[in-house]
This record gives sequence, structure tokens and C-alpha cells, in this order.
Amino acid sequence: MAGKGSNAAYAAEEVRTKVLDPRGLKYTEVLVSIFDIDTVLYPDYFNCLVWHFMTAEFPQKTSFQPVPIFNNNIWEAPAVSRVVAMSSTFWEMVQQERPERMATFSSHSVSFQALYEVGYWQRNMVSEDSRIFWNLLIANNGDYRVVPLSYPVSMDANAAPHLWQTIGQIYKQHRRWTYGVENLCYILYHFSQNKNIPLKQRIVVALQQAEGYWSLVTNPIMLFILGWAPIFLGGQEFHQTVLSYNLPIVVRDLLILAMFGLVISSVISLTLIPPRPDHRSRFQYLVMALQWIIVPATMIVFSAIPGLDAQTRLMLGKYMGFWVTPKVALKQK
Amino acid sequence: MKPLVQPLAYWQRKLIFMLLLMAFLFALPVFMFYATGYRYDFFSDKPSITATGGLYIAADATLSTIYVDEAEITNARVFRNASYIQGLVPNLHRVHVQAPLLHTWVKQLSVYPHIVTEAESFNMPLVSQVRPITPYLTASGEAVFKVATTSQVVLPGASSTVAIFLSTTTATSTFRANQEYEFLNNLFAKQASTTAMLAKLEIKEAEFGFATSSPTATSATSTTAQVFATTTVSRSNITLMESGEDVVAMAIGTGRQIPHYFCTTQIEQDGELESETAETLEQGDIMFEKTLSELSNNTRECRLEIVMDRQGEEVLGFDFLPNNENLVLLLRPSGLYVTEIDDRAWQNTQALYLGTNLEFLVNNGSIYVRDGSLLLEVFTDIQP
Repeated sequence: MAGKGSNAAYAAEEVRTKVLDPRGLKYTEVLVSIFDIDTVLYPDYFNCLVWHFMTAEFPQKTSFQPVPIFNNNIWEAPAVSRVVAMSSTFWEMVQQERPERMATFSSHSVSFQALYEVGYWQRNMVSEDSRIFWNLLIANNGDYRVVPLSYPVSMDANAAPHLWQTIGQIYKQHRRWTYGVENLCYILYHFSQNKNIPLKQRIVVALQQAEGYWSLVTNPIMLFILGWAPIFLGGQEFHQTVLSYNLPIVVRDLLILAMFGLVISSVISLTLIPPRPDHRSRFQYLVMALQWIIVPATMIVFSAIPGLDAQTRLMLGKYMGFWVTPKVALKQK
Repeated sequence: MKPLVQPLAYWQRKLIFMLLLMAFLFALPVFMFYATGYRYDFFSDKPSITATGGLYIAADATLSTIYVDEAEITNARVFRNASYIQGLVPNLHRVHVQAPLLHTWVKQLSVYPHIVTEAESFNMPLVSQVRPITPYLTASGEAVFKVATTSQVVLPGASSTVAIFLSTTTATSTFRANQEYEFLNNLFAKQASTTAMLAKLEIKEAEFGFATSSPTATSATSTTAQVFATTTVSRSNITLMESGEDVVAMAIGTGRQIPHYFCTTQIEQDGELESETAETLEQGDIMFEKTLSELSNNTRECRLEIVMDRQGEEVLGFDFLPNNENLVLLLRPSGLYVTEIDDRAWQNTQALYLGTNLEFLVNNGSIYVRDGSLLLEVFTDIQP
């Protein structure tokens, strides 16, 4: 499949045969970092990476995951793109706090020895970034892990010349990301075959992954319709009850309470954006703070629906190819 | 480079998770009991948990205020024209809906535990709101009244916001004929002839025991409701018909098609809700379950008909209020009235236009009244 996995695997083999072997470099002493084309590193990234590699308990059986912050072009991207980008950033930040649930995503680093043992990144996969982790986990009989670097790398938010193009790009990108559900079938199959992985680990990981992909596509829709669906579906017997009338009120109040999370998100997101370019007014900060109001819509349109789309395609055998997100350098106005 | 941040330790995250889980498990039943109507009465002499009910009052009138047991209800509006009042102790509650310059709607409604009692209020103008329709119009479209003097009152007991022109001469050459007047005049004439024809048909039926022809439809009475004869009007799931001197509203259909005020619930059949003892609450819960069961199985006790309150007067004509199948226009010797079909406690009746020897018809969503030589469109709300 033409895509990042094939390119990276080809490049790794080229490096092995043309650089590592001729120079006699040990595979265990080589650390590979794979970055998307738009990834920008901060000055201490490699310091941080090397420190973690050198202090990791099992460095050859560990992948290292930075926090992707989609803010390179945040001042040029439209509000919808900014919100989706920051939501993805926050999700990755949350993942960093629970490393036992992490798989590699997008830009990451890994020992060359580990890569070589599993034949590098898979060449026939859309989600090669997470698949490499599962391959390493299974190949090492469950003795493999991700260490969060808690250090950022900057990437592009989706931005096309026109809003509708941007929306289309965001949708396709998230459909590709959520197509990572293809890993679930792969994991379940190999967990059933590889009895050397501890049973508890197999059960826990399988349940976590299944729940994750299920909640990704259902929770936003459930939250959206929970207060109103019973009124339309409950029938007359339900319609006359106090519960029928109170449900929308209670759900509304709970969601208002949950909105405080958005306020916190808004504040944190303002600390993650790069310095304001001269051609942008200070008013834009206010817009960036208030843009979080559209999260309920973006959660459904750019999380649940593309997720359902991807999962349905997989279920029907309409397998997806690797759709490359266009990276356009927009002219600064 | 030593990292500045570290993830929380697994045990710390587990502890936070357990605390949040406990908070959730504690909050869940609280929310569930609250949402199903249970309230803790902090202020009574013996604070206890009470299973409450609610009222859902539809009130179309702008600036309307709802009172329950003489207390004004605020912050209960869920839609522009409807309010949901919750946390009411199961009992009889007196509901007022009032608005400036409009009749007050009053009803005594039973509230049952866990159940929301629905009612639709209506508030007609205290002073009839009319638009005169005259045979002639001025060039600018004003209705022309022929009067002896310009000080003559042409619309006694009614209010109109449209401009009228008072003419003291009988000459009509400077005016143009009003086509709307001619159209409505024809409708009234057609209605009168159809009524006469059906009266003959009824006599014939009485003489021979059967009708010689099927009931004839007429377009004069109403264009929004399905009319089988001048004595039968249907809309949605309700048919209005004469029964002796009375007008009755009959429910058409079965089960859920029958409007709720035709039916009683299990609670209403068995309920003794005067006291607030635990025993009564328990009884209320059992009846609530029975009510849900009968609603689910469509085994509600429903009447087939409700007699309209004509307040001792003869009914000369009737029709549904435009756009509302729960309210009926009753033409009585003293005027045209709006009466609700819902007879819980009593039927509210409000005058729409007072006068004797009136005729009325409903056409294309509007109500028209002929008061002697006057032809008027009567409105159900205050005209701006």
C-alpha cells in the first residue's frame, strides 16, 4: 500500500544496509524516530528522548511517545480546525497520563533492534503507527510498553484554502485515524493464538481497546440524544411520567456542569498556541477562547461519524487506502 | 535531561478513579430519584421523602402568568408557550392562567405521584377583537360604515385596530365594492340554505325511520374540519355532534388515539391521596405501576363522549376553534363562546363575541360573525 508505513519500512532497510551495517553500528544502540512530514521538534526533544531511553528499564522493549500538539499553523487554521486539533492534542495528553493504555501514535521513537526484529513498519496498513506497537507487543509476548515523553512535538492543524475543503480534510483524517479499529481484529486474533502473553494482559488490553473504539463512536451521539431520545421513543406510557419531563432538564444540567471541562480546555489551549503573528489582532485570542463552544458539534461530526464510517467500511470489507492529508502552507494575510 | 513532569503513579490514578466512581455511585441514585419525582421536604415538621408529581400547562397567551394554589410560578417555562411545574405534592391543585386584557383560565387538577398532569389553558380577549368587513371600501382599503352622524358608535362592545371610514352619505360612487364581503355573504347564505335542507332531511328521517340520502357535506361551515353535516364536525380524533339539546364531543379511534382527558388512569379510579402518610405513598407507587401498565397495554378506562357545557342556554351552532381541536366555538343566544372539551373539574367557557341573533362560520382558519348588518372577523388574541 502506498503510504507512510511502506516508505518508512523501505527507508529503515536502506539505512540498515547502507549505514548501520557498513559502519558496524549495533542495532541496540540505534534509536529511530519517525516523524510525519509536518512535525516540528522543540530544541530539547532528543535530550529528553535519550534520557528516557538511557533510563528506561527495558529500552529495547519500549517505544517513546511525545505529545503531538497540532499548532504549527494554528493562527491560519479556521476555528473548527483549531478545536479539532486541540481536542486531539488533549486526548494525547490524557493518554500520556495512563501509559499502560498507550499505543504509539503518529510521531514516535523506537529502538532499531526492536524494529528490525518485527520487520519494521507494516507495509499494507493505514494505521502503521499504532500497528507497529501491537506487532512489537505480540512479538515480545506482551513484554513491550510505551513510555510517555511528556514533551511536545508540533504538527499542523488541518487547513485548506477554503473552509469546506478544511472540513472535508478533517473528516477524512479522522476517518483514517479511527480506522485504527482494524487493529482490534488483529489483536484479538493474535491474543487468541499467542498463549505466551499473560491471560490477564490479553483480557485487559482487548477489553480496553474494544471499549475505546466502541465509546469513540457512540458516546458523543449518546450524550447528544440522551436527554431527548426517550421523549420520542418512550411512547405515551413514558411521556406522562415525571421522569420523561425531568430527563432533559437533568441531562442539560449535567452537561452544563461538564462544560466546565471545556472552560479548562479553553484556558490550557491558549497556553499551547505559538506567539501571535503581527498580522493577527489580539481579538483573535478571544475567538480562540470562545471557539470551544462548538465542541459538542465537532465531537459528533469529526469523531463519532467518521468513526462509524471507518468501522462500517471495515465491517463490510470496503477496506480503506492511505489518504494523505494535504499539507498546504497558506499564505499569510 | 531529567524530565520536569511525570505521570501520576498508577496507585494514585486508581485512587482518584475509585473516588470518582464512588461519587458517581452516590450521585446516580440521587439523580434517579430526583428525576422520577422524589423530593425531600426539609421544611415540614416531619421531614421525609415524598413522591411528587407535576403539571404541564400549555399557555398560548403572551405575557401570561401561571398560578398554582394562588402562588405565582416562575422559571417553569420549558417552551415559549408551555410551563412544567414539578415537585407538587399529590393532591388537588388549583391552577390559574391569566394575562392582561384576557379572560382568566382556572382549573382544578389532580396531581399524582410520578405522573405529569397535562392541561391546555386558553385566554380569550375580555373585549372582543374584531375586524369589520363592509360592503364598500375606500380607495385606500378602509372599511366604510354608513352612519347618521360621525359620532355614532359602530362597534359597540368590541375593539378593532383597523382604520374605518364613517360616511354620512348614501352615495357609493367614490367607494369600491369589497369582494371579501361578497364572498363571506355568499358563504353565510349557503350555510343557511344547507342548514334548512338538513332540517328537512331530519324531519323526513324522523317520519320514515331512515334517511333518504347520505349526509351532505357543506363547505360553508368549516374548511379546516371535515364536515359530515351541519350537525357533525370532525377534526383529528374528535367529532362534535348534536345530541338532543346538547353538543357532545366524541373520541374517535382507539387506545392512544383518544385524547387523554377522555380517559381516567388507575390512580384516578383507586386514588385516595388526601393524606401524606407512608402508606398512601406506597399505595401511590403501586397505582403508578398499574397506570404505566394500563397505558402500555392500552387498557385505560376511556369515555366515548363528553357533553359540552352550554351553561343552560340553547346551542345554535358549533365548530372547532381554528387550529385547536380541544376548544369548541358554541353559538348561544347570548353570543359566541369558546368552551374547552376537557371537563376535568369543569369546562372553562369564555365569551368571544357577545350579541343576540348572531351567525358565525369558520373559514380558512378565521372566525366570522354576522351581527345584524355587521360582518366581522373575530380574533382570539389581542390585536397589535
